Amino acid sequence: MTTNDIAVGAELAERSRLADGKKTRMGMIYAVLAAPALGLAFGLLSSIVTAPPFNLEAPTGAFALVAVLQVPFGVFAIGVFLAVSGTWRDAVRVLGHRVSWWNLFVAVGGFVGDLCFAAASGLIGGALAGSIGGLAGVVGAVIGAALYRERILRPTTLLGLAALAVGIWLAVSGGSISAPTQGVYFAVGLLIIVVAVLTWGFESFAISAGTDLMPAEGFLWWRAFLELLLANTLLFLLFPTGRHIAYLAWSDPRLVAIGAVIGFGWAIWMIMGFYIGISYAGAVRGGVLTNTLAFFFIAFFSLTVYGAPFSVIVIVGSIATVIGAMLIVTEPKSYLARQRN
Amino acid sequence: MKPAPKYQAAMTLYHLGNRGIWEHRLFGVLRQHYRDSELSGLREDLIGMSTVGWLDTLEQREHRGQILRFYRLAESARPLIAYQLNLTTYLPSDLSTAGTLIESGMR
Repeated sequence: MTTNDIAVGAELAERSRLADGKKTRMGMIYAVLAAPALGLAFGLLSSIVTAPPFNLEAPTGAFALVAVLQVPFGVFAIGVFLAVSGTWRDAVRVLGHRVSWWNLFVAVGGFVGDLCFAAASGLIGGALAGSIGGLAGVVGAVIGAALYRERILRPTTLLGLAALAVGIWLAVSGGSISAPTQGVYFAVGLLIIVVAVLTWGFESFAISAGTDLMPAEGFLWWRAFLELLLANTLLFLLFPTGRHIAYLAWSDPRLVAIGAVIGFGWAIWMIMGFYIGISYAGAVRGGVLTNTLAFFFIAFFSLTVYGAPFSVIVIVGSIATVIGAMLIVTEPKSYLARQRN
Repeated sequence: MKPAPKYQAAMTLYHLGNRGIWEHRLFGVLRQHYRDSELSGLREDLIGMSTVGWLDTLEQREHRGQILRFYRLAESARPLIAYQLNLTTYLPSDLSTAGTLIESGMR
């Protein structure tokens, strides 16, 4: 190999590295753009979870809303996405390998997270549940960074973590005043949303780890479809009132239409944020951005268009968490490419 | 049932072992079993697997403005592939066109 060949090789390696950094940037942009879709969907979900027929029994109403409205429409939308993109074959072709059990693992994590969010937003309100739920991205990033030995600790990371703490503190202190319940119920609601944050955080990491070996589209299908099976089996077997709530929800065309908005919004976020965002930019960057911003929009839409009691403090708290997350993940392109290699 | 193209690619690299393969040659090998449209994500899949360190990129060349890479399954990733993927689903392929590192593959 001549010196010239080595120089050409080094130049190509550098170009390749920069291209990878650019791809990570693209993933981050998708993750950001997906966020309002989940805000629209889950803000609406949290605003109707306290209304009839979902307030017949708690937390059965929240469970029924997730199982019979959100997820069926989401699975339908993802099915359409697979058909249009021509990747539906991959959904079947991932089966029969040990790694495909990872689908079930992720689906259970996502299902528990969704259920906890719906139950918690009935107790503490969508605005507060949203602003705390955004921490899922940071949890996913910490797990991902630890397991993949990806270094995320820089001076700005500590600043970001501090901003997150301040944001959460502001949101909780402001949100507790206008929350639907007080006292012990409020505390239980906070506890449930923390469980949601942890399971979603793990799911966010698990998706990025899974897409390393599994085709992202097939993986996406099983993540949603298994949630549909699990949620409905449990609801109809274990919650007799749930069957009644499901019947009432499906006999009201307005609620079915609302379910479609929730399900489609959720599916758009899953496709753009979780799959394109995370598989391009990784759990650390894609995961943090898509989760933090999506949950900011849940809080923002809840307080504005969905008519929860407006609170400047919750908005300021949510903005502080977003700034915190940005400080954790934003870095120069060349640095980013080096980190990802 | 055919395995997903990404799995077949990983298993082909597993069978090639130390020899490795140019990515366009791998594309050719997979075309024995899949239609072109099913392989459109292959380059992206290979880059993804090398980002997490499962593939070694031994050499890169430029061809009409595109970077082509010579991949080899990393030694550390062999047990992972053997454990996670069902190797009996591997579609037997004619690997005689796989090429070698010395022969550049496009001249």
